[in-house]
Amino acid sequence: MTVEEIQKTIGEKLGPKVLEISVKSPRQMFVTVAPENLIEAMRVFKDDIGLYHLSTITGRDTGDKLEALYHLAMEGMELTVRSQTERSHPKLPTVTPVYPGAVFYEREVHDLVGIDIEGHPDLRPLVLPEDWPQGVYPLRKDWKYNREKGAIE
Amino acid sequence: MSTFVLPVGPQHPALKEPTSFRFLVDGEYVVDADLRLGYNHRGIEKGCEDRTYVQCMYILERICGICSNAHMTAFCQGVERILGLEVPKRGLYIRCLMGELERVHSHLLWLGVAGHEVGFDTFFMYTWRDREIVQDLLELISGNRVNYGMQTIGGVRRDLDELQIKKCLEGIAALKSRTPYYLNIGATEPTLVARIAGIGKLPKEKALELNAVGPTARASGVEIDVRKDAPYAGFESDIPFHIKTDTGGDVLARVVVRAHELMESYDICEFILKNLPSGEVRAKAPRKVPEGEVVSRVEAQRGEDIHYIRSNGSDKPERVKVRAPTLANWPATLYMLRGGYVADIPIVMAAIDPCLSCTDRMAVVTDVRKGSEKVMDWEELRRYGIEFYRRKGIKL
Repeated sequence: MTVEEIQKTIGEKLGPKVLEISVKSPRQMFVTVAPENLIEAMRVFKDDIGLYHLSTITGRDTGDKLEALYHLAMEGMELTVRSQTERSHPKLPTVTPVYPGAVFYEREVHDLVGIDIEGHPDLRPLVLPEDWPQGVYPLRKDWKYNREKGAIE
Repeated sequence: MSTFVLPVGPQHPALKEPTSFRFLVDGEYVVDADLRLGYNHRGIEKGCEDRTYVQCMYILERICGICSNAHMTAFCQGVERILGLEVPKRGLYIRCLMGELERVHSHLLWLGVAGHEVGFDTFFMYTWRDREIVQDLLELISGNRVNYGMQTIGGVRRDLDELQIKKCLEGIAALKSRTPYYLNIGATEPTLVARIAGIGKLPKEKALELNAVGPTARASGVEIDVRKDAPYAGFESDIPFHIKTDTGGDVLARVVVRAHELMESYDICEFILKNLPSGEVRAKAPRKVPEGEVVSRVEAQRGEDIHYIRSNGSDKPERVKVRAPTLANWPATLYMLRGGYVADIPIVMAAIDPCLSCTDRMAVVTDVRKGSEKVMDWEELRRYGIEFYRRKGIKL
């Protein structure tokens, strides 16, 4: 599918539910959807457009909001779905019903950026140690690593 | 019925890297598998936010010793795309050559490790002997055997001269004459086939559903390869490339796919060395990168390596996200282990070619009947697997 064909399919199936489409190159595009429409949009991307592969999920702190970027792929196209959530109550639905391979990626985003993944089967810490303090998310911009003064200094 | 938890790890003498598995077992069968990652988490993504693009390049190269070049390539080409920088063709060809030589060294290493895990150490000695050839070539080109430091934003850092090209062609020819023998052993040697055929089954639908990548997915018949799906470096233009798949979906198929990929990589290397365009190898890149975001994918030896880079106009990136191939293959591996023998754990896990530094991330076996727990280390588990099959008459 070309960029134009994908834009047409998105227009027909999702219409105004897609807030923004930006085309970076003939093989790469970014689309923005609201969290409440995320699952519906993901189904359209997988079943109607054919983006069968979920590469990974990036969690990012934009300053005033938190966002998740779902990197989808198929032959000849990389499409990234952006969904933003409030910093005070960061919540996104799980995409595991559509992409079962997302299970570890969602745990990673939950660990490091602190977005609550609603409906996820298992949100134990994945990469952070078990004694990591609760509510501290290292990939947020306000978290700074301060090296403890040890024996060396 | 009671269960038994068999913990394996976190220190694996075989994998050289720490990760923790918990296997729920019923006698000889694995009922369920769970893993705990994070023993190797170094906070590289956060670290990149405080470093300049040039510093990031080298810290990202050190994510993993084996796919170092793939990480560096992914980052450099991502930044080049934000900058709109055109890389000279000779630079792209040498970038591609490094990627393929790295794949050759990694696949030869993997074939040896797979042989070792099932107790076939002769195979290990043979493939690792040949791996020295490609290691010497990598050293000849870059000066390093690991962490080559060849890529840079705008191209590559070193050019090839006539003598280097001649030596590389000789090395590739030697490897090309030996690899069919390994393919022959891997695919037809009766004892080895009896040990690895039908083990760690992953059907095509499951591979697609669980988003498996690389040789693991291709051995299940999924035609997924970034070199074809989103061509980069020289693959964009004229370097010929054929995707290699197999329909077996077991460990045997993964051996066969990797052996075929070795042959394919030799052809790519020969094409590059014989058709190397003349000209510069790099374009000059500015220190500051304008605001933008990009997804950059590279086919590392173990599968798709994806970097997401966001720049903010300064000389430091706003966000760098790395997903190395091993993390993408864990859900599929847990699926493969379920229902199999405890004795097959080492080879099934080794078959995805796990890299824990990449993914950052041991094993616990629980007996369903006895309700007890036992910690096994990797070496113990490997010896148990070899002994188990020896009693069944498979002696390697």
